[in-house]
Amino acid sequence: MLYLSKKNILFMLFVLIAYLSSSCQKDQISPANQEVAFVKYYGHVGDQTATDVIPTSDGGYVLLGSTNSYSAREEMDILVVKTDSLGNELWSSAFGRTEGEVDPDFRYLRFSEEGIRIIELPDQSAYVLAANRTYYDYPSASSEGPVGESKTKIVLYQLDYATGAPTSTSGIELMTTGTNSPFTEKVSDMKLDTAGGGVKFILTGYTKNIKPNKPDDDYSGFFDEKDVFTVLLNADFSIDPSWLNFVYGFAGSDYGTSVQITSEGYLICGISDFDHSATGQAADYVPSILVVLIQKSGGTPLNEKEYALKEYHFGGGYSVFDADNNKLTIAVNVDNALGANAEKGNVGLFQIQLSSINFTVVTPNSTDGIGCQYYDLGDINGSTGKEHLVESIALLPGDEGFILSTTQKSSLFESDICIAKFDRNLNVEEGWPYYFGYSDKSSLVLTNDKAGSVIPIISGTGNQINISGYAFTGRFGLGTNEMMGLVKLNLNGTLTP
Amino acid sequence: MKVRLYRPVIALVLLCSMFSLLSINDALGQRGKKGTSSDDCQLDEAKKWYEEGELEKIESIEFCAKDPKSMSTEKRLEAFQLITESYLYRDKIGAADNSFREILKIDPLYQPDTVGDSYQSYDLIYLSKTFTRRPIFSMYFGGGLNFSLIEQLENYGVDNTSGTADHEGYLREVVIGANATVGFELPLLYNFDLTLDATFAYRTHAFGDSMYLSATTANPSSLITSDLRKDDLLLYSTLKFKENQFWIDVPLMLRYNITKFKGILPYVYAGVAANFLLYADLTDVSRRAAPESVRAELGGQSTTSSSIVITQTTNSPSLRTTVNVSFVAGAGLKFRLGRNFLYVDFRYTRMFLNNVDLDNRYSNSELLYYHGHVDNDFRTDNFALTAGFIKSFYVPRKKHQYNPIIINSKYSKFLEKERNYIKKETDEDLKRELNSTLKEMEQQQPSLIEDVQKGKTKGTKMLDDKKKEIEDIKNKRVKVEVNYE
Repeated sequence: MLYLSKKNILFMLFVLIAYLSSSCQKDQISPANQEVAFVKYYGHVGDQTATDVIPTSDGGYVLLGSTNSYSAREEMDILVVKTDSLGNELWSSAFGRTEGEVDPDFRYLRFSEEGIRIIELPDQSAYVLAANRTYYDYPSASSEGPVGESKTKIVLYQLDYATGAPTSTSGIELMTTGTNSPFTEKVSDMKLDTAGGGVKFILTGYTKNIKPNKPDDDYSGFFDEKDVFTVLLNADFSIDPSWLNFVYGFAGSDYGTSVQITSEGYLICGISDFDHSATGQAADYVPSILVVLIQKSGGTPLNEKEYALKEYHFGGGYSVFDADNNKLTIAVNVDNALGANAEKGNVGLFQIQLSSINFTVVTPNSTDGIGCQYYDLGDINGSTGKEHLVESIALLPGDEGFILSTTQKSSLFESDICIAKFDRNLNVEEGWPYYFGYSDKSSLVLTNDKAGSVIPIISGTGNQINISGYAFTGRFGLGTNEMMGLVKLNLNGTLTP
Repeated sequence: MKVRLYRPVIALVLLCSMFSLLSINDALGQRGKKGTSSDDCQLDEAKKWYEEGELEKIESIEFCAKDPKSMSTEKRLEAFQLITESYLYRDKIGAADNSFREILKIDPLYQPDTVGDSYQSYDLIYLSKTFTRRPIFSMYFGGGLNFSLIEQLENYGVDNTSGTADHEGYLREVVIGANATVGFELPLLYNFDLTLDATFAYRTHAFGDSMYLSATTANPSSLITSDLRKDDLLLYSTLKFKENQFWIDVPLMLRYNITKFKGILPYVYAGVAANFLLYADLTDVSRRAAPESVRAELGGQSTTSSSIVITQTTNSPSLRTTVNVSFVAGAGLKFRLGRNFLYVDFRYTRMFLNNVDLDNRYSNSELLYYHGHVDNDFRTDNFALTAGFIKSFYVPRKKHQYNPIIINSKYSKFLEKERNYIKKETDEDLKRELNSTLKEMEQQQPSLIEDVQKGKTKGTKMLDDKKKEIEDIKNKRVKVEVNYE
């Protein structure tokens, strides 16, 4: 029989305690919940951009942008990335029109495509995206550089729901003025209209195929570079036969930035050159805020309003429509370089109450005469008076206010992403904005970031809707290369779990 | 910052060296010390008295011999041996104990010469065994090298964290840190020590993380022609850095000494430690996109930062938790150097808690936005090899099993217990026999304790024998009863 002395018993006890101490360590580690916040990068070794992110019915996200990582040339392809709810890539898809076609001038063509808006179809059968395709003319296939950029066209793709593969590798190019039209058309926004149980897409942007001979054009179209472009497409991307008015504009340059679906019609928000000169004097065009309500059938304008301030050069025109309150909120920015005004570089919010087809400005606390409220969102270091370019605005359910994304430009090579939350009265909430980006003290190490869409992350339905955070995409300028990115912020606008 | 943090290590090593020199000098000084008294406290006379049997006279030199300046160390030792012997002959065991304590004060590791010395009787040898030679308290100083292994607990990268691709990890590059220790050990019972130290540790590890592309049928990944990793073409951008951490560990450990070998004392230990992170940074931070041959300008770009501080600065919060708790275990060897030791120690430190501050994971904008890095949750295992010096402090004292007070108390308790048993016993014959034996034992108590004190028997053995004697009586009676039946 084994004799256990006190010494041996103590020693065994000592070893046992040591073993137990070691083996129980796992219980003391409690990893944080990664669902609360994350930062993700997507792409490859080339350059990526990102413009849009949408939540998908499976709780994940789809991001849309472009990439040249897989191209033999620098021209961009469309890039779509599907993620799970934690931002993990489930699939990615890169595609674009194949180069090498010869146009009527016998030039070698290459195409650069930029994804603008993506939509998940309600029956979850496919994703649909709108993009801009720019044509580059090369003298030949072996030429190093293009002769020039000939035109940009709107292109639509339908993607396989499970893999993201396009049903047509070249997509469907929008032909509003016939095949091989030389005019540039660009899309800025696309919405899905499911009224009546159908599937239609309403797009806005601009066209250079301007409407000629406009009234009050003293300069015979000299300043008239662009007009607002709007089109209603069927589910197969064919132009709705009822649609007659593709182009809308004035004697200056006009473009549509966003489109909203209201009960009265489609509401186009954008920027329009407004002539502040007195009659008979030289034109003094200044970009102003444009709101146009058009008929759902045919696109005929029902009401239009320009909100202009001399010396205020507005840009942006991203909007969001609160259907419950019939209220339109428009986000703009004031050009940092032009005009003699106190709001240079600042962001402006503008609210309009819709009553039938009539517009009433209802922006709270506005004192500028047209109804815009301005915000100096500063920069990542807390400095004020910096330049912001609005990129997206989203409505928060439950009358919780708005979430806005801007690109804060410090220089040609340095820009950061700014996400700001506003309450229902359009006040910036405490703790916001959140900034994404980096530059060192000597500005030698920079990140060139550009904001895309920002969305609230919503769970529940009806009266039980909850916001659990905010997600935004954009071009994230890593030190190595520019990436498509996705960030999920918590409710406080931080990445803290 | 770094220079300042290295200072304590240098100071500790210098301190350690000074202590080593002082201790050696001290030992040499003791050995060579000459007596200052002209008659050496009448030591020669005392020797004569001893030979002539006039033992009572010998104790007269005791007071003088206690003075360290009275004579050389060797002569003082000789004097106290003589005094102890004289007390032992006269059965003055208490005085003999005290006198022997004086011997151990002079030489804490003293062992009587068992061969050829006419002054050292068996009684002295027995008495000598009743005293422990273990230090009452020791201080140790050491320095060495360490190696850290990182266990990833949760992946929080900026790329896919759910994938199975082997794209990320704490590199198996061997990067060595350094450590310096100052500590205390307190001997407990049965060869156990309690030790507490403060270890300043520079720990380091290397990290690598590749972003990767999910290959799908819609993804033209066939165009990727990375030359860097032909086996895994989907890895496309790799971040590398070295993390440097400066810690103060305060471990409390229970150590078991193996006393079988002369001059070498192997030991094993285990315990828990509180770990305090003083400073951490990442050095040689670099991300490089894999070059592609499909297009000359594609890939190959890189980012570099020579150093990024990840503990709290004026501009950013700490990415690391600054307090941790760890399990510590190790083994080592002590080599006797006079009354002190040199030691070599191998220690394993297993930190229990996540090293990453969850609230600040994304707070370093340079790492997140420029290099594209988010810390994974991780914890650290560390292996350290340390060499150093142990300065021991001694107080002469009886071993537990020879301590007359303790043994006497245990003996009295044993008798009391048996008396209570007898009271309840119904068998009159047994009662009588036990009473008689107990009485005998009571009478023997002073002489038994004295034997223990003298070292002629171990107190524990004596107690066991007496207990067995009583048990035998009880058992014998039971057997007799069984026989009757």
